[in-house]
Amino acid sequence: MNLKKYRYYAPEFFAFIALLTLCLLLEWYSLVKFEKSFISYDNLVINVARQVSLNAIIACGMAFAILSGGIDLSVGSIVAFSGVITASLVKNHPVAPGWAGYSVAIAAGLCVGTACGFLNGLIVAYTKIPPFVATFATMSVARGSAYVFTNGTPISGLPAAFNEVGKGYLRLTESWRIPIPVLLWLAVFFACWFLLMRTRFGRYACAIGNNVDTVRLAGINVRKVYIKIYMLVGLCSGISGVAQCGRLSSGQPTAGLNWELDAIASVVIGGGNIAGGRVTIFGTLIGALIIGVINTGLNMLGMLYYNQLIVKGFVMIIAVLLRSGLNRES
Amino acid sequence: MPDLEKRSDYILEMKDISKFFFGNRALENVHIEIEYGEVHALVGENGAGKSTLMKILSGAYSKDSGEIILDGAPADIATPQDSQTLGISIIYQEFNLIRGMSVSENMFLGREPRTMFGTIDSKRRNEEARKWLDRVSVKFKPTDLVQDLSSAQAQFVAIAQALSKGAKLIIMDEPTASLTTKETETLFDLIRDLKSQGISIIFISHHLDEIFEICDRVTVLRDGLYVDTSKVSDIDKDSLIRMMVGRELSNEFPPRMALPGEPLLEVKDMSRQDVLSDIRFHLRKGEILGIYGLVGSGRTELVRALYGADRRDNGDIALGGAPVEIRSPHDGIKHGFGFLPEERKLQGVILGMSVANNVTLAAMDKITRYLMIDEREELKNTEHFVHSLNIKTPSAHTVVQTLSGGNQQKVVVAKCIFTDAEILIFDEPTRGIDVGAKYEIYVLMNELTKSGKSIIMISSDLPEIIGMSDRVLVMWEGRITGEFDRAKTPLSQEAIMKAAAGEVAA
Amino acid sequence: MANNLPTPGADEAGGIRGFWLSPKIQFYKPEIFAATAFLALLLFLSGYPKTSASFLSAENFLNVTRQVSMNAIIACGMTFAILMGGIDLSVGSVVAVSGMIAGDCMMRMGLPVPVSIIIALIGGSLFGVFNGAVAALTNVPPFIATLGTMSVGRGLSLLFRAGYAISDLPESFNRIGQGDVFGIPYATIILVLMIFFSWFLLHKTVFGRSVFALGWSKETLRLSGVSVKWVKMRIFTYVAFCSAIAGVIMTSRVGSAQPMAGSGWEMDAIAAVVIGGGNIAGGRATIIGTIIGALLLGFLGNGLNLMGVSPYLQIIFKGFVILAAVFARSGWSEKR
Repeated sequence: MNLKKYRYYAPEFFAFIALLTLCLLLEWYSLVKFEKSFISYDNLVINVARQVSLNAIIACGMAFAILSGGIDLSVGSIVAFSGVITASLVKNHPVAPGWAGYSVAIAAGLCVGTACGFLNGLIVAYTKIPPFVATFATMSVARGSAYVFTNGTPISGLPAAFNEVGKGYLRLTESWRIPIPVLLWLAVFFACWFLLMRTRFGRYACAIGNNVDTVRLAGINVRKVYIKIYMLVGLCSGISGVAQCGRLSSGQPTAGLNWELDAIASVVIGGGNIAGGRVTIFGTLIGALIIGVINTGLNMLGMLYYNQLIVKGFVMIIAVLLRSGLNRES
Repeated sequence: MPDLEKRSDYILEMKDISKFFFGNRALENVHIEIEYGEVHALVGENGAGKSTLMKILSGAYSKDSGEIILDGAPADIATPQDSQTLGISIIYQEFNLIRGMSVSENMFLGREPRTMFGTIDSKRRNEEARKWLDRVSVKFKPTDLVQDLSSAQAQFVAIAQALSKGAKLIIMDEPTASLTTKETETLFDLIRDLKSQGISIIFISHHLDEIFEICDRVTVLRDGLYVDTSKVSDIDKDSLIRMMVGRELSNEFPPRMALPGEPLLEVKDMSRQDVLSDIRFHLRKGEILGIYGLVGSGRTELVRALYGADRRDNGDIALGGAPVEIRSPHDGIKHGFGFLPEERKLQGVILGMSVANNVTLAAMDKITRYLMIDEREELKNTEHFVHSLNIKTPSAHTVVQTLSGGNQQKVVVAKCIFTDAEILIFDEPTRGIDVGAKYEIYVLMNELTKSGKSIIMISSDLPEIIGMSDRVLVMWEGRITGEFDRAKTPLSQEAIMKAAAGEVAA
Repeated sequence: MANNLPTPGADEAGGIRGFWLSPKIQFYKPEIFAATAFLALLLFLSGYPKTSASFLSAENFLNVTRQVSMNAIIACGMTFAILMGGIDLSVGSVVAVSGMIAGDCMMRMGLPVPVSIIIALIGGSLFGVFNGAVAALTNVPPFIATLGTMSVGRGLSLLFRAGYAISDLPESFNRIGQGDVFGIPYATIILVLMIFFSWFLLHKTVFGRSVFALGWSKETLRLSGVSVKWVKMRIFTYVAFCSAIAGVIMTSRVGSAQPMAGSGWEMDAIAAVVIGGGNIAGGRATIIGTIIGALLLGFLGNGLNLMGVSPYLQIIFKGFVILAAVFARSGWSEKR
């Protein structure tokens, strides 16, 4: 067996073990205390996965940005901006009644997200402004735009049919149902996995994160790749924004606040290197699940919100510490 | 049908190439002609314009004026893509491959074979890669990760990549810089093979011996100007050096008149698992102790452990008979060691700091008064070094990034001396430095030992070791396999090479 | 990024581009940019008829400096973190925690005001000690380490009073943020002291020199015999110390300790450093620049308020100012 090849996936393996350990611990605790299984379809899919799905969608896009050696801080603001646009088109300015109108609204939301990403991409590709600063600025711009657009008040009272996007389930049988956001997550996950592992775009994103000069000298149009990367992140944020809008039954200009940090945390906990060049979509999925399991688990333990924050902070540091290890330099 | 009669003798002609950066001359009216199936050396000191010329050829820079003729037809090269389509490939020292990717992924970066669905066809890519790897006859697999390859193997990947792109002209920039002697030989075999297939090669190297071994003709540049082109068989090393530096260099090395004194440093039983074993040696006052060994023999690890930069498992270090404890670079400096690291730009200097700030970096306590850095004192000390070490810099405030390699190296030396170091450890002090500046470093080393300091010098350059050292230690696989004292017998190249290959000297 | 040669600040280092300028001036080019923009803003606001009258009063100026003081003090600390190539996301949480500690000491334990303040500063700084320890002793990147403490700190500050604020703080305490001496707000005076101290620390001491070197090459610094770990420890402790001071000012200014105080402030501090010429990749940042950046943001907000621009539009404006400031000195990319 060629172990060398698998060595590359060691950080993901670590994350996976961590996830498994967490689940088993909670399973044991849950069985003893509540005589109920933690590892059940209902709990894992309906609770954990549904809860983290929208953030995990963004994390999939974020994985590309971090892989290429960049970062995207504007995702949370894009969630808000695309959300309020969708909400407004659904409620105040319906293009057509029913699902025809909703689809236009959703498409508009996705377009807004992608356009914000395009702006990020343009700045990163054509100027020397580092991605951190560029997306930091668009974070302000997109958030401000969401506020200006709504004048600061949420667009609430969206029709129940539309809210299915964020709240609904796909019912397979009586007892088997999949939340729509989880379905969206799975779709985005597979699409991003495919993009990263099977297409030239993914290969280039990885190569740029390793060494942008080599890629340039290989005759690849680096600017195009950058623009595509940030458009992808924008699109993912747009998807998340539309779904969040359905989940809240309203378009909120404050939606997605600080989501960029959770998305980054998912990527990094899942084994991604914040400096670029090494990120996997599968790891990002595990990272998101770890965050979800921690949240749900702490809830189950009856911990208050602020205690959860404390534990979450330490778990994040420990998760990264486990794989990056101690600094052994004298 | 192109008229064969009219076809040029040269695969490449670059005529009257000029390039100015903000009014500063990088190249002026330089020309070079490369014949079909020729290995053509391009030499010159650092800053002579070699890399600029090659960057113009590869499309990384645009020329201000001049003409490039490829295969008899004028070529317009504006981007790296253009030059690749025209069959020119450049193999850089470091920047060619992505370490985290496999061999075949690297080879086909930017032109991956695709399936009918538009996705990457890994199978076909690996097969294609195999084909080209066979042509340069290497053993590793297309699916191996580049980070698992040695630098020589990586170089072969780069060459295979160039061939797979249909390169007719391959530029090799310092291809042997990180290769062992044996690997260099393998590379030269490949170059000869490529040559017989009609592929032309531009060979850039600081190692003049290699040029005489492998090249057919040589073009010399100096200060952005064309000096001469001649057949390698028509010239000798001295005249080549003369052309490069534009002045007479009586010899490569200054005469060494050493009077080593009392033993100063004594190292016993130093070891580190898998890296160093059973190291023992001593160093006398005013001595230059050369350490020779192939890449991976543990020479850098040895001196880094001595200085406290790397961990060691065992080892007693005694200075003047008294044992000392060295666990960190801070300890090393405290006990009078100074270290000039191998990677000058990453470990030796802070590129973004001024000369003055760099010189005082390792001994800032000396210029601190009442918790505050005394900048006047700092300047005074730096100016002293600028003067005494002959550092060519516009001022002590100049950012080190803008200095030449040789002068950056002198800044590192100044930094070591400013800590009052008695034992200076020089790891590859002349790597990447041009001939003239090398000589100055040698002179400086002689002066330092004359003033009572001792030097441990690591070098991959055997003539340098023999030319400068009073005594030579040879390392192989983490142990010392030979010790040669110039005072007893003249240093012999063969004996040192043998020890470096693992044959323990009698 | 991973295997590229680290050339932090290379974009702004000048090189051949500005060889006619003296190295010193060359080094301060981004600051000169920012200062010019700042002066232009002041000129505009004092000339523009709609703002001129209310803008050009000593009261307004002092008020803005009072408002800016907290962000500017944090930004002073952040300058150190960014200069070394790291970042500190936990500053906002430290603001809240130190405020809560001060409030708790005074109201629940009944300690005297000065003692409470000292305990609050120490408590806040402990976060920095933790951040520094993680940065120094492990390979966890500062971004992640401080993201973790950001969460921990917020949780702790909520824990104090189960999410409620501590109000009715003593009058003598509230004077720090609200009072003034000879018309100059205490907050402004503290700001000036902190600017001077940070400037001294960064530009005049061995520690500051080491921070700068660390941003360029850790290995060179290490081989120069400087303890990199110790430098990192002090950097993060100083950042947290600055945040704790800002936390005390904030608490006394609003007269109550709020557990959600300072959320999002890390972004404002980073913005100030970046606008003032700091390079997010490390190796380049100055205290003078940071202060200009913070003042620019403060007076911009003040001016837009006076002009009656909606606070929502101001958020958008801020984004463009950051883009423009960084673009003005870094320019177009040549990486085709």
